[in-house]
Amino acid sequence: MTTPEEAKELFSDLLISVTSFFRDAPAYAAMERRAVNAIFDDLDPEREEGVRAWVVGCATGEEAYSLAILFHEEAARRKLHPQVQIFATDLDEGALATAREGRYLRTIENDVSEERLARFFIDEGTHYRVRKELRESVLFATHSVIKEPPFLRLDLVSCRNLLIYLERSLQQQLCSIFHYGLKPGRYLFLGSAETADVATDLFMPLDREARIYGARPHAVQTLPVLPQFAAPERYIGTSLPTRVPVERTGLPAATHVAALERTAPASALVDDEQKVVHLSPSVGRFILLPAGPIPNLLPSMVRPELRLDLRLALVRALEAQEPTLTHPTIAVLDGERRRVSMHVMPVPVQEHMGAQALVFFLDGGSVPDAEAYQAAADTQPGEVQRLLTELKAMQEALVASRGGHEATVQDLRATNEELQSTNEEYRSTAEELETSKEELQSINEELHTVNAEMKSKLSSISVAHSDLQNLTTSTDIGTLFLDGDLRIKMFTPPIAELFNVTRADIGRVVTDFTHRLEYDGIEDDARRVLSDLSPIETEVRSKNGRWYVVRLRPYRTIEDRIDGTVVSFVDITARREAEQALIRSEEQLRALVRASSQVLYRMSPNWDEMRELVGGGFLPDTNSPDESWLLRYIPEDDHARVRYAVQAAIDAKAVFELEHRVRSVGGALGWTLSRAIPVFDDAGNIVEWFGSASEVTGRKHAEDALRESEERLRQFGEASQDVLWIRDADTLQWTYLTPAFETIYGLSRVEALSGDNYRNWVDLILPEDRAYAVKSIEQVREGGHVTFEYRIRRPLDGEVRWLRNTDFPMRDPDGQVRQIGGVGHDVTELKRVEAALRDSEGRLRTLIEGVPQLIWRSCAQGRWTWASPQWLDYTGQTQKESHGLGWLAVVHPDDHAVTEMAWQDADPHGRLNTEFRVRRASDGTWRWHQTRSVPVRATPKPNETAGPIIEWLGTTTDIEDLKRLQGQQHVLVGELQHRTRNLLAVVRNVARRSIDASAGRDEYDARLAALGRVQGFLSRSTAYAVPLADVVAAELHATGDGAADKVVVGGPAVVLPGESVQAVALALHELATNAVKYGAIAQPAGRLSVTWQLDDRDDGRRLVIDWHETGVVMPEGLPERRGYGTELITQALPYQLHAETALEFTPDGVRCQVILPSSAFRSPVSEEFA
Amino acid sequence: MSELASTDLHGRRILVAEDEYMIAQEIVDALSDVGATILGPVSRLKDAIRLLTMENRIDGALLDVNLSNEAIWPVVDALQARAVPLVLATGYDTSAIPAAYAGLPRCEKPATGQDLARTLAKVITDVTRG
Repeated sequence: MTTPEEAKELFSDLLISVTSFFRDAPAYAAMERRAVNAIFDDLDPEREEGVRAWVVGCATGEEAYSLAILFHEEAARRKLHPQVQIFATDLDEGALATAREGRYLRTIENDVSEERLARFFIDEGTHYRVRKELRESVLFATHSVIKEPPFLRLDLVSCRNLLIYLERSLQQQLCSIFHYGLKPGRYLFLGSAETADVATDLFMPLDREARIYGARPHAVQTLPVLPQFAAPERYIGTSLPTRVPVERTGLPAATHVAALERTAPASALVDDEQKVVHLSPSVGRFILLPAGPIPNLLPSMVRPELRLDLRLALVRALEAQEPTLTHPTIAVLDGERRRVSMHVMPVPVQEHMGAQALVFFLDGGSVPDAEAYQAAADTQPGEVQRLLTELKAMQEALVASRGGHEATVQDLRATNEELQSTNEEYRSTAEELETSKEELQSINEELHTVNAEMKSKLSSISVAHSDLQNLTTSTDIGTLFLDGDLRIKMFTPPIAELFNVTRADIGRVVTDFTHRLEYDGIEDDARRVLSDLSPIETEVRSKNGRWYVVRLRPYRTIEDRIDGTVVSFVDITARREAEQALIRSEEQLRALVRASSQVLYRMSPNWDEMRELVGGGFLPDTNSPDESWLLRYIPEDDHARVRYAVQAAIDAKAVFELEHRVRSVGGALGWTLSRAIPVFDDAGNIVEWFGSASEVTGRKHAEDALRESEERLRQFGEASQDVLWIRDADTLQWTYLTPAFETIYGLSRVEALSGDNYRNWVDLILPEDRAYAVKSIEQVREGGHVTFEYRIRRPLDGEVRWLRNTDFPMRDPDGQVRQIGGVGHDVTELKRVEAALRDSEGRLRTLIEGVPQLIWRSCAQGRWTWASPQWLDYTGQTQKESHGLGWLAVVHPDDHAVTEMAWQDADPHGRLNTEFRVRRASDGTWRWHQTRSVPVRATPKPNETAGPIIEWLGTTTDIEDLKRLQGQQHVLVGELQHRTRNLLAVVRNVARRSIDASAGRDEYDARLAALGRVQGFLSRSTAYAVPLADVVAAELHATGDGAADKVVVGGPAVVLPGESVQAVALALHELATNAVKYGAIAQPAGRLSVTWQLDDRDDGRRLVIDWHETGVVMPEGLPERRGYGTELITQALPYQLHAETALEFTPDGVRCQVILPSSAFRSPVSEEFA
Repeated sequence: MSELASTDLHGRRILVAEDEYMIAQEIVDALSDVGATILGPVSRLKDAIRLLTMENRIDGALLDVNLSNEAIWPVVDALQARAVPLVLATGYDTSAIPAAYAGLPRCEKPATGQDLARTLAKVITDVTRG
């Protein structure tokens, strides 16, 4: 280190300037989320306060710019424009220079997004330069965070990767410095390896991962101690003495110390910075804390009256190591004016500790009031009193002076802080000035560049000028440049031939000069060009017979401003002459065209416009270009066709040829054949079309008629479900085939017509039918009409179809068979139905012939139309004999009347049901037959329920055997009845012989008789049922005569079925027997009524039978008999018939009621008994 | 014979179906004499079927083939399914019995109550022994 520069370089080498944009991206993301957002949230746009941040150790500035980018982005998002001020400080001047330049290698692309690059950087090829707006928000300055005061009112401090290089005490200091500089609650942003844990009282972690901390709002905001005043660990051990006495209470020394504690004057121990190290318990009354944060300097804490003296005394004690006892000062303690002295003593310096001082506050007792002074003065000689008065005045002045001093000290401190800030601002301003200077330099550079460009342009203008000069002299076209006032600005040499001008005439008005043209309008035309700004072109002749095109155009400057007129004169004499020749030639051609009967026309290249048409008497002429030619000449229906053909011709650049309709001279539609050829220019482009058209109306009509006829035929063919075809008579190939072919043959026409289609067709025909079909076709070829049937197998699904073909020859005018026409009809379905019908009829016949009945069909009144073979076999009649009324011949003559009557009734009843005898041919016997028939009806008309009868279908069944069996049965039933009653008679006889005569035997006899009666009733009844009235009458009758006047019987007609009759009859028998013996019939006054009625209940109809005896004197002592009769009524009837019964022996006579359920009787009376 | 019957029918529960009251009483009397318990008698098919569903234990049955014009066969089927021994009482000829039931033990009317009871006793004995 021989020179200061070397020292500086060494220092620079020690500094570590490693950084990058958005170093540790997640941390930046967190910062943006946690801090940047919050800062902007709190931003009050009204107060115009900006965002202030401090980047400590900014190195080459990436970090500072990163922060600035975040702030700018956030501001843009919120559409705010706060002033963003970032202080970026470092010790390394070299790094700072880089930072100020803001120019970075392209490698930053890795760290900075494309979007950010585009927005905040200028691409300078190998480098990116920071844009001005970003650059301006960062202020770079050399600054030692340790040695120099901090920036203030900050929103964010970013100190990344600096703390790790510092020892812990320095870290603490830096933290307190940062805390001081930050607004309360604002953010500290540290590097990933750093923490603010050394100052947890100042910072709380907000995001530990991203190392973002918030400044705790701290009540005591002490200006951080700058390191040159640092006294590390100076507090250690100072509190020990106060603890000792507590531990050693009881010892005399401790007692002494304790006593001292209580009674000794209030005291305070301060360190070399006058900060309080320890206070005695009683010192409180001397302390009066000022407003604001709690100071820890003792002189600031004591009552204001004492502060000046104490400060002086402390300085003496700490620096000079001299004790001081201050003069008593009046202070108000406990609301009393008291005299206070302070004894300040240096404390001996211990090892590793700074100087300390002990302050005793000595209370000098209260000060008498003014009155006391007065009193004292009164008693004192005059001199003393005067002194006292002076002293008092002095004391008051002193108090006031001290107050003033305090205020001044406060002001000075405030001013000092302001000055520090101002100083920072100055530094910043200096920075900015430096930046401005750099910018000025770059502007200077640019000016140099512009100057160079100007020079090069000037030289190119010179070149252009000489080119123009050469152009004007080399061209034959006379050109005249006039200004707005028609003064000549410039002209080319040929002008001199037309105007009498020389170079010297430039600047004079053109009209001043004579010329050799038959043209006087130059002045007017030039003015018109100037006013209309549109060019004017005229052809003029010179006095020597030459022709010129005079073109006047406005003169446009490069800025598109009109500055005069350019007049050019082009010699067109040769062209003019050629034109004249051409016109003459055209006139001749035109005459020729007009003389022609053909229609001739010319069209524009794309046919948009008809240039000319000569109608030749057929079409109206067109003499001037006409864009509506299509509408005029061609009916609308043909427009599309014509357009299409035209377009095709244009595209192909080939001949247009089309037959189409046109509106002729008279307005009638005619046909024309139009042909047009394109006329090409040298480049091969169509210049125009030249066409001719001839009338073809007559031919066209003839063609149309033919086509229409063919079309009608074709439509018939298309619509027909039959296949129509035409074959060539020689080749037999189809020339025409209708769509029905596809449906029937299951083969598309395209397939069918391909190849040798006759051979293919023959192949489709089933082999067994093939020869026949081919032969039929041959016959037609020879001139015959043929109808033939054949089968084909459809190749699609293998289905076989029946076809019936009618083919015929088609002759030419000479009578030769040229073609063969054919109509093919699909008769598959017909064949199928026919077959089905045959099958059905066969089955029906089999059925009819199989049944044993004789079946026949008949018209009305028994006129037969058909008899089944069975009838014929049975009667021996022939089919014919049976028809009409012939069948009656084999019907028994006695039955003819009945049969005829039955037929008469058959029509109105809609059925026939009769019996008659028929003679059997085999043995000549008459046998009973039952005949039944129903009509076959036609479908009814809408208002009819049944349609008219078409015929009768009937069966006649031999019932001779049935009849015989019925007769046998009748005999058998009679026999059975007879035997039953005989059996009963035998049983009675057996009993009579076996049992001696007794009342019991009589009863037995009577009961057996009753049973016999029941059997009699039942055997007489075919329906196996008996009317109740008959049963009642029989039982009453059986009891004997002469009772009729005593008995009343009555009730509706009711029938008892066989199962019920016996039980009811036996019950009635018992009741009647009793009445005859003891009851109503036996006694003279007795009366009996037997009545019954129907009772309809919810669960069905009941029959209620009442047996009611009156006027009977019931025999005394006759017990309720539980004999056979009673049991029959009360037990058997309920058991067998489910009847409800009641039997009462009343004093007036017997009463009995039997209620039968519906299962035990029938009502109303069925027709057998009507 | 009588002893055997009384032994075999004593305490047995016998279903009686007979539509004629007097005949039913005769059968009931005959069965009561030998100490059997009578289920019924019933005169209708539906009553007989109801009894079948209500009675868990039926030891035997005496059945008239025709109950108020209804054939007894549904009851016979149900009893055979429960393996209850039964005897048919009928006035019909053998030929009137359907083949499926022709093999069942049968008494032809007019049979006395005792006849029927004895026949049933024999059937039950055969079943229990066999």
